[in-house]
Amino acid sequence: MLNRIIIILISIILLIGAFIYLTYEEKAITYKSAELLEYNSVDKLFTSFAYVPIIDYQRGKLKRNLWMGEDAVLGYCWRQYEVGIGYDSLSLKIIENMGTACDGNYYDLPEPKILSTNPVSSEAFGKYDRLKCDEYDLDVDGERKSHEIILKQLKNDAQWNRIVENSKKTLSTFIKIYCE
Amino acid sequence: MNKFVKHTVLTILIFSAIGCSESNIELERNLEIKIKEDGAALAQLEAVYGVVFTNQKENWVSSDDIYIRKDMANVYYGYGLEEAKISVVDEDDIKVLKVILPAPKQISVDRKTVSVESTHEDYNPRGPNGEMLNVDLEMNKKLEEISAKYSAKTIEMTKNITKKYFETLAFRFDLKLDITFEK
Repeated sequence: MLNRIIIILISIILLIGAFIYLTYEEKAITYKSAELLEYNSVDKLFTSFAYVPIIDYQRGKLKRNLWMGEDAVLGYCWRQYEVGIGYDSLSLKIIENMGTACDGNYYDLPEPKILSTNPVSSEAFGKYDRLKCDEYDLDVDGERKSHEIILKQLKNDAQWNRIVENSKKTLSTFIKIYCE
Repeated sequence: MNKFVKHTVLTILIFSAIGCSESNIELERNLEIKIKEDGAALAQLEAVYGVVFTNQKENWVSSDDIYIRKDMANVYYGYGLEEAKISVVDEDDIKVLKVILPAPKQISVDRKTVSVESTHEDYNPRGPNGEMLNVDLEMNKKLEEISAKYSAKTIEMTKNITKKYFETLAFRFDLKLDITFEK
């Protein structure tokens, strides 16, 4: 009789223990501030691709209007680039204003950068000097001149703002993984 | 007594089994909600293509004619997240996040002219046989060529971003990832 009571008591304790174990939920780790655990650095996150033409014109006076008239297009240099845009050395720990992304606001996130440029073709025509066309984006003092030229072109063509908006949206999607 | 102990152990095991699969279902539901709310930005990638058309004509007396037109096209690639299949399963004591996504595809194209330069204002671009050219048609043809050339690359980029997203998500919830893109 005593044995049976002990066994029943033990069973009840075990059942209660099992019930507690099964229903206890570990609180999910949530981060609302900018201090996140460093998990793994992503070397490069490409968020956009652009196929960008850079055209430089050689202007001058028309044959029939050598002494007057506006400068007309007498030649051009057309260089074509494949451009990769995104974020590099991305470690979530170092991004500021991450907390705002959790509220659905991505405007304060950093702008993407031009990560890679690959010139795929170039064409010089008319009065434009071939050598000058080839040297158009020659690096000066180690600075990546092509990145500067392409960024300026994308801004002039009203493309940079939409690229920035899309990239920030993509980045905020990654950050939101760690939001409540 | 033995029978009683066996029954108790069996009951506990059954409860444990039900408990485990219930927690998988709840995790699945939470992840699905999170992905559909937050992952919408990943379902679409925009590529920017600059299209250039040039035409030249040599002239004896006046300056040679040069005509250059540049258009910018925004091409959208993506897939519908509502078609994504998400599940959490147990494999050898490890929880695995299984994701099956449809293949990304081109959704739409938006092209507009950015600049036109011409040596003489009244010059009309002509073909090799002297026929007048439809410049818009030529721009469309060039855009199709560029799109065809780069669609594989851009689709690959879309897949990579999506894969990185699910890797990060799996890491956050302590899951292993198994992701497939349907063809």
